[in-house]
Amino acid sequence: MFSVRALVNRSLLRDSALKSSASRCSQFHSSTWFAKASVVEWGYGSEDMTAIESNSIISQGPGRTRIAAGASHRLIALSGGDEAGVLGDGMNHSGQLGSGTRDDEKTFSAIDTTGMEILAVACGREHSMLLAREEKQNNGGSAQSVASSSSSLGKTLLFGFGNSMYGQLGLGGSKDTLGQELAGQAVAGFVFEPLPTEVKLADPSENVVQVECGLDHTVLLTDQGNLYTMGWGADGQLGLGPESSSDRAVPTLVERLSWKAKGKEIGRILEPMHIPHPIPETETIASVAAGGTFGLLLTKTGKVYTCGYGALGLGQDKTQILMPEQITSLSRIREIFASTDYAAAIDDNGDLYTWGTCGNTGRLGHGRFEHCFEPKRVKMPQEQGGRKVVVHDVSLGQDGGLAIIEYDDEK
Amino acid sequence: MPPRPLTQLTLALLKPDLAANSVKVNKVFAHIQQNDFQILKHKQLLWSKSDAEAFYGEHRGKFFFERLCGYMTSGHFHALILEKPNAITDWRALIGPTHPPRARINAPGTLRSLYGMTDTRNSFHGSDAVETARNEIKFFFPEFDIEKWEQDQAKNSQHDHRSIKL
Repeated sequence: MFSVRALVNRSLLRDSALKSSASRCSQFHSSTWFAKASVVEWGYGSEDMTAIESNSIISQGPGRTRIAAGASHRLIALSGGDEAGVLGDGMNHSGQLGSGTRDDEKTFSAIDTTGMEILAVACGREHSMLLAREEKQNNGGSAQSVASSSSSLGKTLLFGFGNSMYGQLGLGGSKDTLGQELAGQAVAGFVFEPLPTEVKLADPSENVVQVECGLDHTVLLTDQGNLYTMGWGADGQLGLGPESSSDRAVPTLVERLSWKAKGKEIGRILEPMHIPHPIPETETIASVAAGGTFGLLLTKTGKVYTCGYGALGLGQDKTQILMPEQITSLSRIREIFASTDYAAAIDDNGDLYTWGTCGNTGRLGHGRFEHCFEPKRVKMPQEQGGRKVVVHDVSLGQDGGLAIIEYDDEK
Repeated sequence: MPPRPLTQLTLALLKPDLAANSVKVNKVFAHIQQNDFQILKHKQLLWSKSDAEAFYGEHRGKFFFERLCGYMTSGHFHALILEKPNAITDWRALIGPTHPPRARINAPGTLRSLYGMTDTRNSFHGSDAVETARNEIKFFFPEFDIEKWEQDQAKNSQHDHRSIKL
């Protein structure tokens, strides 16, 4: 059986992380070019971008680096290269960095995941989920990731850590069940788990293949096509039907029958409903992204549609629309992302665009604190000297984001 | 010399989502002081469900009651007694409109536009009138003698008037 250990101040990982602060000015010298992967972080109150460099960062393929940005913390999971571990930085008020402690703020703590391939990380407001599986050993005996040739991932392991006031970790505890009882009166308690702890489904043969976090709830997809939810349900975010808007502290099956149930309340929709949209029949919707006050649709031909409220990407004069409308300044988009107040898109050139409200967070990555009512390309720190940067993946947290990028470096 | 203006008290809350981020809390405290509010009392609390239901009792039965109570019991938060001339109006102006995403566009610079998270997690509370401020201060700070504070205010103000007449 596996255990995930927190290694506070693990020297190798910390060194690789600390290198980042000096990387922008010191690393670009000498003569051979090769594609180098890096994780770039921005926002969280800063106008600057930080490049995190490590030989263990892998941009594509099996064993690739996984990233997740939460409200005020972020995780970078390394499976390949010389190290296996999850780097965490930012707020750690609920132990959401998984380092075994609970404190105000941390700079690069690490979780040791040797022997595991990390399939996904996800961050909510103050909680974190880690999806992994046993790393296959090759004949030579050294740890190496094996590409999954089929859709089956085999036996997977799900871990949760951080805040579980609403039961969002799925470990069976929440403020409602763990509040102490003193002299017949419920006394409030703070519920958190500072170490990665395995989350179990009722049926042990069922495997989680995808995990996503809302602000205070968690959604799981399994290899049997089942959907499980846990955490805050007051607004119907667990999808458990019109009769149920209470919190759940263990993974709870979303019964397909309940999707047909009728009944709505003002201010919330408790079951999935069909959304009419003006996108032509000839277009197929390839993916969707849900923001806080808006939504995004991506078509197979790379067009992006949005509706809702906010800096929608449709210009300063159009901050509220009820039906999806195309963001015409975006084309040839291959992936879309949305967070509470802003959105991002990667085009087939590997360029990243962001738009939305910024406030004093710097979350748009434009080196300034102004809102952006139209998509604007994000300039990566590695671009200096005309260097081409390709963005492979993005994770948007409430106040800042992470990207996995690749660029040609001289060595 | 004009008479010293009467000061006023209001009850402010820095709600759980904000309280979970120490960097933001420090910025908010600096913002409060820069706007000439005196922080008379300050405490950190963690509420049980029944605590939240007692404070928000008037909203029982409304569709947002469950989410409001669920939010307010989701972590530690700060309660403050703020003092300033026109504290009630000024504090509500400083925190801004109820919905942070709208405030970011329509009321930039307000505390909710800068630090509020979502419509439910709007991160700040301020009393809406003199009587509610009194009740809310008593609710959160039963040990604070608001009657005595009011008497002292009145005395100081009379004293100021007298000294001007002389």
